[in-house]
Amino acid sequence: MHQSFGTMTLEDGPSVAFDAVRALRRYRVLAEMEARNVDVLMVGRGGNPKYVAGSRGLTLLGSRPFAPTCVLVRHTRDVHLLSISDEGVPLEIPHAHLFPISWNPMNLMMRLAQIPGTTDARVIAVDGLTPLFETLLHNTFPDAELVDGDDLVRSVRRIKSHEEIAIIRTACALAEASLAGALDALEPGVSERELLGAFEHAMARNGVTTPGQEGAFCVTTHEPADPVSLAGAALRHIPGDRVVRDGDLVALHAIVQYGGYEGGVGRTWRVGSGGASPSPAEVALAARGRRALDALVAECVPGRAAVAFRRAWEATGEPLPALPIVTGVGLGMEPPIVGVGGPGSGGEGRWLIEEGMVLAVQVCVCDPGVATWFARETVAVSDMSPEVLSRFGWGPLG
Amino acid sequence: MQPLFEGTPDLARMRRERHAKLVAAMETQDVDVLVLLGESNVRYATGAHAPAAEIGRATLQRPIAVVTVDGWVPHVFSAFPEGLPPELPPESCHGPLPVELGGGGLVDAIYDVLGGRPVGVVAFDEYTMPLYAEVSVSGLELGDASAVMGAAKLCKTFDELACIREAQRINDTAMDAVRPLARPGVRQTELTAAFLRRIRELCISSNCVDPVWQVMPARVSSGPYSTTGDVVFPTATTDRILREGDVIWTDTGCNWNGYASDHGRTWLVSRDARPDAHQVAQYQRWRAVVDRVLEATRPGATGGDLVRAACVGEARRPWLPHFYLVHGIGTDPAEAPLIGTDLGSEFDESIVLVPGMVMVLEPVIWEHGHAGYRSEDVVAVTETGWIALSHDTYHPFPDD
Repeated sequence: MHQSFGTMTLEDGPSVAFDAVRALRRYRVLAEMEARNVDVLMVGRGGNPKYVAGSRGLTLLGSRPFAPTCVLVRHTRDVHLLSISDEGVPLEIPHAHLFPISWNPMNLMMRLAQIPGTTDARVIAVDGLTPLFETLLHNTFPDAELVDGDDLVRSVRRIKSHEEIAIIRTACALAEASLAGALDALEPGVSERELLGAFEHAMARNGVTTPGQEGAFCVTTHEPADPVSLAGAALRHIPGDRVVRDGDLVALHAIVQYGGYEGGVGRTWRVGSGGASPSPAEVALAARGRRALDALVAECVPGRAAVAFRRAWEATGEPLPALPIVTGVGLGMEPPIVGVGGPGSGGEGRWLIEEGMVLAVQVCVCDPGVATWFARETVAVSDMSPEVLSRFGWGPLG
Repeated sequence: MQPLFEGTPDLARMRRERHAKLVAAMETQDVDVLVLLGESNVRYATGAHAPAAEIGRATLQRPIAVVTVDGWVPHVFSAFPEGLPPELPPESCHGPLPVELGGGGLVDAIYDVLGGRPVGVVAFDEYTMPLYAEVSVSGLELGDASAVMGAAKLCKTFDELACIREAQRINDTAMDAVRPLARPGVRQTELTAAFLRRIRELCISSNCVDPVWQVMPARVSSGPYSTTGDVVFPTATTDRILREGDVIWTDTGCNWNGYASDHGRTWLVSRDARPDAHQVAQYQRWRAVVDRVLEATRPGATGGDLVRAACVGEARRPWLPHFYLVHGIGTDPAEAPLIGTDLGSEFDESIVLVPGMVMVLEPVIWEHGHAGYRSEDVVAVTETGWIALSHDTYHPFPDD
């Protein structure tokens, strides 16, 4: 395998063997279907269809309701995909296994029923439902029990192969390159939105048009009028019209998807023209943030429950911030989610940290009246010490 | 025709009026509580925004809304307080609800904000599997929120139309800046770069879709395999290098204060783009289809009327068979009315135009051996006919 962080296909092959990645993913999903006695898997949400089929479709931002767009039959081991063409569809999925999109749910049900192995399935796993699809699936497959396919695919997605980690490493390099583009635009007078524009401009110039999320590119220096919560630092994730001034601290969170996989890095930069130094309070704030970040990265080792991150955070003495301190990383954002947005300490206790997981660790600390400081690293859990996949400087606050 | 929606929309009034329409639809359809998970539904019901994100992240981070038929202020569960409307009182704002993660307590959290177990029909727009597991044993009388949402969303208020118009204006303006860049030697992804930067400079709220700059083949058989036998569109952007004479179909959409725009045009790649006789003829046929559809557009006309108007003199239906002649647009980039789909002619006849409906017209003219022409125009139905919400040029084709 190439160790390149580029995205070109060279004459001796691509920098990542995506065909092998897909084959392994599908093999593992089929094994999990076997283990759970699931006959047919119908998925349509988040990274699940991408994991099963590996097709490169048109990216839409935002959540969408469940529809059975990707079907995997255990008996035939075949993937059937909702697609009007083979553009972006991997070669191993033959034309006969593509079915066109439809606005008529009855036509869609008819096509699902024509897939060999679906009508005699006893257990069908779905990764979501709507009231309409609940009724239609029960009517079309009356003998089948509908079970949780989201948990099935997520349980397999959790552990990454070496190849998947290589893709995430490249995604991190792309996120870093895009962040560098935003930094080039970071000067007094630029708005938060324009920083986001500069980030996405650099991203697309690097050949990738799929951000993991728009933002955050937000000024975090506190205004006297800003509401300051002592309960925990908060970060604005939705960039606005606020204009950056000389000496401001600006949180930057770059997330880019490559081959569907997320790479990300986050920093807080000080806008400085004319060589003005950060204030002692800003330096102290950044140092607090770096200590918390180090504490979280040190927990990225196998064998513990995810709640260990919460405990490590509590040991820093910092209040828990208003964002998750840890999320899973893979085909986009994944569980586990530790902190705000997650299931709480009880739920965090059920997730085991294992070798092959990739995690985003996020830190947000605040000095009321001064600023909020944010950072994120992407970290692979290995049998050795944690491998920090993201790399970026710390700028004037470093 | 001059647009009637000049000026800044009143966003607080817009949210109030939407909520009132939603409550009215709940009353009509005997729904007591709406539990909304869909991002565009939550945005419609409450005005709550989340950062635009890839679908997996958007799903895990999504705000959730609970709306009651008593007309009380809706409840929102969200991790993004900066995305909540200012008039929402603190007692209606709750931390995020982990509907994707399981572990129990989801239905109880909904009961908590309602002050107890609700009586009557509780309608959901979608279920995550952990939520479904709880709901299906809850004993609640369950309903489908989609009909309520559809009824409320169908006709836009003055402020909603103003939002769509502004989203469209930004989208059109950004595409004006990108069009001259579509020259030989430029990659598709470079056009994306220019577009994404320009919409931010123009103060868009977010981008909705990976911009499309698809190079069209001269004939279907020269393009990617097609499951329908018809021309394949849209396909995702790559680093493909544009070449002299390429015909590209563009499709972009962005979001201003929760409302989507839709911009589609046919461009020719050249430093000196001049359509040939075939291309001009295709464009003129496309204009004729749009003109006939707009001629038929007035309150009381049916979707069937528009389909028939579009088809006059055409050997086959002049749009992509896997899509539609017309789709609506609002908090969703494609929503009702959908006209000319595989839902069939009876469905089309059942659609009756009323003032406030927004229609994106997207006919397609395809000529075997000579590629084709596709553009999208956005109009709103008025008391007397229609007005344009999009105003972009058709360059390099003649505008008149």
